[in-house]
Amino acid sequence: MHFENGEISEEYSAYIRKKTVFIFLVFIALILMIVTSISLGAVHIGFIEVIKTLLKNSDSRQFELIIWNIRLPQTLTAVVAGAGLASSGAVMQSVLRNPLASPFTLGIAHAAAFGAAFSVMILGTGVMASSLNDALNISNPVVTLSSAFFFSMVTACIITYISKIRGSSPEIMVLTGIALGSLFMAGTMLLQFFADDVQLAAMVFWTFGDVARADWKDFYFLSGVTLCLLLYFLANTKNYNAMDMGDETAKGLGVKVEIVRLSAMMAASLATSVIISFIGIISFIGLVAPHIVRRVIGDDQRFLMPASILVGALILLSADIVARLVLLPHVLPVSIFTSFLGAPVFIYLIIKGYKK
Amino acid sequence: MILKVNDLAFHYKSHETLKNVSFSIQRGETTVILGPNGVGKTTLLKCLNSILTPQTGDILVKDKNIRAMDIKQIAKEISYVAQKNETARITAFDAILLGRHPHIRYKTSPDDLKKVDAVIKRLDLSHLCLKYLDQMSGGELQKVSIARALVQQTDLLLLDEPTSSLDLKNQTDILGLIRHIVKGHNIAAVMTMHDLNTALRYADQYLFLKDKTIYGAGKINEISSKMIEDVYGVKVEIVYHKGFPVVIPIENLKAA
Repeated sequence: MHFENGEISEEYSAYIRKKTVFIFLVFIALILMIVTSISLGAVHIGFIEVIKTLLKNSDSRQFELIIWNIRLPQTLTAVVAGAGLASSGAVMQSVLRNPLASPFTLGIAHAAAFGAAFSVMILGTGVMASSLNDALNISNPVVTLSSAFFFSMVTACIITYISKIRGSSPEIMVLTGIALGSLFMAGTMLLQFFADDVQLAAMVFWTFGDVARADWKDFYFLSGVTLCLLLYFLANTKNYNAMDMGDETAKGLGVKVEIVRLSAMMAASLATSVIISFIGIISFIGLVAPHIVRRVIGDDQRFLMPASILVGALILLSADIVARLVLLPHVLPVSIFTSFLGAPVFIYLIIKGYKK
Repeated sequence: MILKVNDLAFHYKSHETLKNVSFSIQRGETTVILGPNGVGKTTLLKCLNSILTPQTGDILVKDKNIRAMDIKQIAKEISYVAQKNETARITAFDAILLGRHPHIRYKTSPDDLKKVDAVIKRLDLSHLCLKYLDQMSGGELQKVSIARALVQQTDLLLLDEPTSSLDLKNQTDILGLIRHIVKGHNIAAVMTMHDLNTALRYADQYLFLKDKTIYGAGKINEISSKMIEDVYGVKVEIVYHKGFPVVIPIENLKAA
């Protein structure tokens, strides 16, 4: 394989083309899944009608109300949340050089959940109700997010510190994640113990991560923050690739390793915090999506990151569709299905070996 | 002179590792840092390109103090091959291309590709270009790491025990290659090493570390059995076989 005159060789082009085709196919699948998600539910709406309604060309007021007020925000929230969690997992796995790292396995998701619950209950930044879809209505997203972010960052800093002094072996990271996750779950349980009936019901419903509870206002906030973070991750893929070669090699290549690692953990924690603050704990997307992508196109972050974003969105959206349809007319929280998918993958990784 | 170190000292928390270290390196020379385990060879190498920051002392690369340089500027002047090669599911080509990281601002240019291509040809790595790092042998990985360092196009190459996990053929291939590149490009290489015989065969200059500081430095053929005994505590004899010096241990002084 040669690069005469600085031109890419045909073999390398073909190798890159395979990765690009995979990303393109996942993108097409995601578009189709978005239309399917809007189409399916307690009221079935045909594909043509979905497209006509989205183009504001529908005759049915009922369809317009269902799509614009319920299904579209729910669908887009699933896409954004899936993308944010998957990219957070991919970036944590890279900067900690740990294939089992993800917001959920490291306890960051539980810390963010505790922070958000603390803000809503103690600081009064949200209104709780005892129903599944309106369990929590966040009136002050900035304070709620700040609280969730604060506790998730505390966890991220502890993880980063432990990885520095003890090495970031998968065993140490996961055990630390279990300890920290348990600590914050205990904190959340303490809040629940002192909650009244309505607050208790709301917190329990809220811990069932569910994309249905986000409205347009939530979605705009969620997507604004997440989009900025995704762009940040994509802009740093070359640094993450260098860090995949080891810290010393990365430093030798001019990468400010400590700064890149800390800022990546901060950004991933922020993405996790904003997602969990609005839709509750969604487990395993951050672990499963990057691993599926790694199996297909490898660890090159230039392709891994965009592909993980799309696959994460696709998985969460698919899980949400199943959650909506499996026990019609009842709608189940999507986190149940992401756990059904994620837990076996996690066990598979442990059994088969998790060499990155 | 390509590198000058003045009165360098480094300690990990309260543990003093290096003190009063001063030496210089010339172009076209391969220098080997020798000494017993834990004496600070790797620490010294890491100080030279700011992976570790010495508490005192100055390191001048082409008369520029690296304390005043950004990490990316340092990476344009000094390349580093770590002792342990981490693997990932990325191709050898992409791993070698990472060597252009300090030079690439936004996008890989045709010039970057030409430089990578030249090094791949020189190291005869064409057949490995599309192979994933996690499928490679130790020798192949080491060659890729050296290729990445060469693609950085620096005047100073630092190598931490480049042959520690290699078989005899790969050892001779890689050290021969480094020596050839150093002479051919008129750059300099500094490497840490345990094997005295390999050092005697492939280096131009030596630097012995003992008791946290430099015990001796000079031309490689000036190494004497007395020096080796003083540094390692092992009685040795240096004999010549077909013109090459060979160190033969006679007895362990401490055990005796």
